[in-house]
Amino acid sequence: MARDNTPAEPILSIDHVTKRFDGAVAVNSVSIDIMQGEFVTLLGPSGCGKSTLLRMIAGFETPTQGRILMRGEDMSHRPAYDREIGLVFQNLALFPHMNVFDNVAFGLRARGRTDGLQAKVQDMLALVGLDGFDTRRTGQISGGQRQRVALARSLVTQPDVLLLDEPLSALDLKLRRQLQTELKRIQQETGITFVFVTHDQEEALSMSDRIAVMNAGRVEQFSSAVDTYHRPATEFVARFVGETNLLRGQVQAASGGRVTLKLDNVTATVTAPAGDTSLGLGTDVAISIRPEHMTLGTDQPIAAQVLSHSFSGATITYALDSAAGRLLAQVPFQPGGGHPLPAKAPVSVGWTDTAVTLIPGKPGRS
Amino acid sequence: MIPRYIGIAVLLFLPMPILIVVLSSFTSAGYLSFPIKGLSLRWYAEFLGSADWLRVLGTSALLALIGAVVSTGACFAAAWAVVRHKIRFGATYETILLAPLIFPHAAIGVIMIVTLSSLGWLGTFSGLVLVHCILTIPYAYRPVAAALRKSDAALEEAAASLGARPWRTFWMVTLPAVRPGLVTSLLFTFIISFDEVTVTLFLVGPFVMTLPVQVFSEVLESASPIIAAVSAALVLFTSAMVFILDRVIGIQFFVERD
Repeated sequence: MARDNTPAEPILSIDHVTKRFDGAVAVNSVSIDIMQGEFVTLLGPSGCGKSTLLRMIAGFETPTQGRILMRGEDMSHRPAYDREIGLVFQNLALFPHMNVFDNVAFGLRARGRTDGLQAKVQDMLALVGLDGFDTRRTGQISGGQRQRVALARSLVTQPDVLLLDEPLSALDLKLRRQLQTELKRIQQETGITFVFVTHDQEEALSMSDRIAVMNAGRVEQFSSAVDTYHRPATEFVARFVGETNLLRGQVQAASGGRVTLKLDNVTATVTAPAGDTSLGLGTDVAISIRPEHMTLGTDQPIAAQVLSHSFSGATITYALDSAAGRLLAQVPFQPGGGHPLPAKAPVSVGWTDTAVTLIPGKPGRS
Repeated sequence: MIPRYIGIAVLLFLPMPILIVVLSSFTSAGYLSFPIKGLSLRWYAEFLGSADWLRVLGTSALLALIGAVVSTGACFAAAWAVVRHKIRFGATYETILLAPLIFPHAAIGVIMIVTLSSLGWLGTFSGLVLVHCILTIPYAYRPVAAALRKSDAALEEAAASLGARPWRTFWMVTLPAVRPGLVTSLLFTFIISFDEVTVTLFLVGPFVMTLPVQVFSEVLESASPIIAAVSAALVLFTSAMVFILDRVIGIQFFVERD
């Protein structure tokens, strides 16, 4: 199934795509390139435009501006049935009047690829773990099994790209985890490019090669799952993906790829990797530090007081009140190391400079 | 306790006329009467042996069939535009389609005399087809639109994403999903057209006559028990249709579990 593709040519290119509905902008000049075999997630809150973008890729909506290219060919105005794109719907949309086999065989029959149809359908049912379910009606199987039928139905035609529109959102947590692992396995076994839409950042982080974080119709950041979490490019990404501590300040000095900041509210200065950006002195910036990179002790730079804590087995997360505002600090829980700190306990917090992400701020933006 | 007796009395009273008509159709007497004198099937034999009666029966059946198919087809197209494509003024169009339901039939009859005579269709079969379509459209639109609203548009998108061209999607996905609504519509409109008297009465002529109108004019002229036999046959036929309808709705109930 591996296709002979140079890495340079993306299988799917979203090229400055904008979609307006009656004047309201749903998708605002989005450009992303997706490579063959990638698992890409469009992540964002509801109404961020991710589903609209997906529907444009599928061919159910036409971009107001911009182009959608597959293997370099413009797809923008090609009808959905003429695109080699599979789609797993949020509500699955299994055909209720057909059994499992006929649901899965539908795409092959519609495209006239009936040679070896029986075997292809059986192989696909085996791949998703539904051997022997051929003659079941779609109303007679469980929610998880219906997910698998939907997946098998859209994969059997071996589309260039498979789009998945929050297919797991209706399932309970345990089944959801199980199907996430399985989706990833099936994606790797088939080598098909997956574009997955979700509002669940944990789901996005655990499954994706790359994540496009969307907000208000724009892509805020398109990067690997690791970079999305550890190198958020904007305050929105830092807040939306995982928990974070955001502190604002101004550039005091910049040299040797590092900047020194004077933080608002606290007298402390921090140094942080400047990244690719060169910042003038006095520029407003923010820094993001994940709770697990915070250090809790008695000799740290910022004085604080414990507000509350939550225990999650391996770690304890403290909510702290400090001169720099409310902070979260997550520390490993040591068995035999005594009880969590009580509320109002005086502590001090700091962080390791290498874990700090510098976010160029836009003045006045919160 | 009194309301219960009233309820039972009403329930017994409602089917009474039907029962009386059916019973009096088995009379051996030469005139319409109740209670009947002697038992016989001679009026059924007369009905089925009369070329005149069979001709109007055929006319009514053909009229109802064409009316049912045309209204159901037209309403499917209309409901498709309103429900699926959400056309502008869709709600207004729906109101217009349902208007014949609340319009007085006598008024429709008068309007149709004027309209059909200007078309030169008064007293013709085509004229009756046109009028019966208008009268049955509200009964066709409602079940068809309801079925279309209930069937998920995502099914059609799923079919398209699997490579099905619009016609294939229509035949393989849309039609099966709305079939219960279509069957309900066909049977309902058939019955409405087949039993229609009020408006048709204005429009029949020497060259075209429907069964229920023929029954009506026969009653005015004579009291032959053949009318009871014809009416009993109509009752039987309509009951059979309603029975089928009920079965279809029953099947619909089982199909729609998911």
